[in-house]
Amino acid sequence: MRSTRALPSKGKILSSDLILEVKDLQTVFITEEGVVKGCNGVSYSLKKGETLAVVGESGSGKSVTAMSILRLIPEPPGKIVGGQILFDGIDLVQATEKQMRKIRGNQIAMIFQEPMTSLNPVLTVGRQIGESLQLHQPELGKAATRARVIELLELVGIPSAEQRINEFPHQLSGGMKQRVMIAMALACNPRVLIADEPTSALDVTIQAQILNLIRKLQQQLGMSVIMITHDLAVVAETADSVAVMYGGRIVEYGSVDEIFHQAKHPYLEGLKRSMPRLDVEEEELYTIEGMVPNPLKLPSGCPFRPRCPQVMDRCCEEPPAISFSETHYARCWLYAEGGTDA
Amino acid sequence: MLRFVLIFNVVLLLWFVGEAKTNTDTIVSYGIFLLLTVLLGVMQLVMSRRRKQREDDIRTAWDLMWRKLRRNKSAMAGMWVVTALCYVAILAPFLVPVDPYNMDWGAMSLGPTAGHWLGTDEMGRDTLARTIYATRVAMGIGLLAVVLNSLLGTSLGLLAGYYGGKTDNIIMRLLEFWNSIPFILLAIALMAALGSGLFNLVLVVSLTGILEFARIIRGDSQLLKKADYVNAARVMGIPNRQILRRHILPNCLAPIIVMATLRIGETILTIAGLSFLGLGVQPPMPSLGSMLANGQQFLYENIYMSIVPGSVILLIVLAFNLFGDGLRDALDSRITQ
Repeated sequence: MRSTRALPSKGKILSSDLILEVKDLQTVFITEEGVVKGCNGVSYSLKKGETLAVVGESGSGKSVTAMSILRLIPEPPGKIVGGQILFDGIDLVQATEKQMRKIRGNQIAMIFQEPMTSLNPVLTVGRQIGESLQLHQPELGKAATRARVIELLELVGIPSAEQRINEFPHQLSGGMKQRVMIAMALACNPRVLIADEPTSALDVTIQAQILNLIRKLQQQLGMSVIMITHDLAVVAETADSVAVMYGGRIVEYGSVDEIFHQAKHPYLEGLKRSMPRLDVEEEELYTIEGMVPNPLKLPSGCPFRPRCPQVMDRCCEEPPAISFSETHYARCWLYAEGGTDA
Repeated sequence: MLRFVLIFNVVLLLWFVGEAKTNTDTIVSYGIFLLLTVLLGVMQLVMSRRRKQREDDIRTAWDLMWRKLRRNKSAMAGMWVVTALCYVAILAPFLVPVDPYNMDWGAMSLGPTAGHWLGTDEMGRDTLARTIYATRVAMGIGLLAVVLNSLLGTSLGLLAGYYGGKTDNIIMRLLEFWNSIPFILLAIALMAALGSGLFNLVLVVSLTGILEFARIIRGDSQLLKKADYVNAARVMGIPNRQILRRHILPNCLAPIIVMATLRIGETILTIAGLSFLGLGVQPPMPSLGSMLANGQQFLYENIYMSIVPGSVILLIVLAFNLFGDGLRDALDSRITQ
């Protein structure tokens, strides 16, 4: 199923279809204890209609990167200190707040992890979806906005949308709320949808529904999606390409097949091994030794060094990005000239 | 329940229609009462329409609040007294047996009699009539002052909490500075500088106590600005002003209502205190505080002159406090079970 869907788009994608390009993005948080590098030289690109999955543990910088794209890093303490985010010929890092407001919600939309708390409890569903519509398309009248909201609710699969439009969030279930969130995000036909762990807070059955819905809408509307997740199953289900993040940087980047079948970085291997499997009888689930490093005290060189089973002396130095194919690279000394030292 | 209130209002309206032509005072009162009744009618209409729309029995937060409030007996008692006081205040010209300014030289400093139910003061003015008018003045000033007070306090608190940083520092430090001036001193100075009039009185009372309002709303807006739905709104590109108005303010409404209710009682007490000192409402306009001050001189001759306004102050403050406390319990989700 994955290949049938991923292949046609891959054939079509040309470099001119690039819609969003993040280049060497550096976001820091200046705290009293020191400077935290929330995202340290992250680069990725998103083509039209593509789904990019950003995978990593909590605190690996996935969400920081996404919030940097929308320029919604709380400032202070956060600050984008370097790099470029190219969208539509504009560098979003340099864009004015006014330009950003026109892009947020209109061109780049986002859905969040917690549908339970992401809807304002005192506004009806209809008003909440209509809010961004009225903002970005003020030429739409009241009746047209209402019609569009109903259309959106139907699009995301909410039954009897005519009535639901007048309901308050507490009258909806979790899955329904996430659908409303998606409807809100889609209101202005954005070109990029950032989904920040859209299914983590939902039941497994609802998860599949929501993922299917996002995929269906993506094809229908020709959006590009950045899927932020820590769940490799979600990645396998939805992504075209994958960026694996650790300690604020991308440690491996590749197409979904390359990531799943030719994983290079020891961290990614560990991640894949720690996925529970039904077909193999295991005494105990595999875990990666150690903890996510304290972002204040990242080790020198490769951030995964203290937990890596294949650690070498050279890992204290900044690892190079080694390309394996046009789309696939990993940042690890294991594959560098000379291979394993020792 | 709203329906009964509505019927009651219409009956009163019909009853007083004949008397409403005599002077401007009655015409204004009648007009206000008419407006209120129409407002209630519209409210009833909207509510019944909404209820029809939602045939399924899903309750809104307000329904739950109302249910909790109804179970609280003292709060309900407070609410009824407050409602009655509002009626008295609005309908005062129709309720007084005689003109409160009218001096009856033949009946000076009396106890309760058939002609003057609660007696008269040293100039022969009817105590009941004066108390009713004083209640009207107190409620009016109290309400107006609290409206101004909460508008100012809420907007400053919202701004300070939402923008934080420098804005927060400037607003809060200025308010703290303002608050550090002793109230009575400030009141005396302001009344001396501005002159004693009803409007100045409202201004003085409403400018004090902004700090407490602002502090609580600031805390709430600090908390709410981190809420996921505010984040979501920001992601949609919604400008700060609209986020404040549509997302943060409506979610602070509960504490605003509670605090405003509690403050009305407090403000009425403050005004009575100022009037007692001669700084508030000026004679001959009746006010609870000055009636009390006046009665103090005649405690041995005619105790009713002090007891009546004193008990009315007690009643008003008690009723507002009970109602406000009940509202707080009903609206505060943290205290819930």
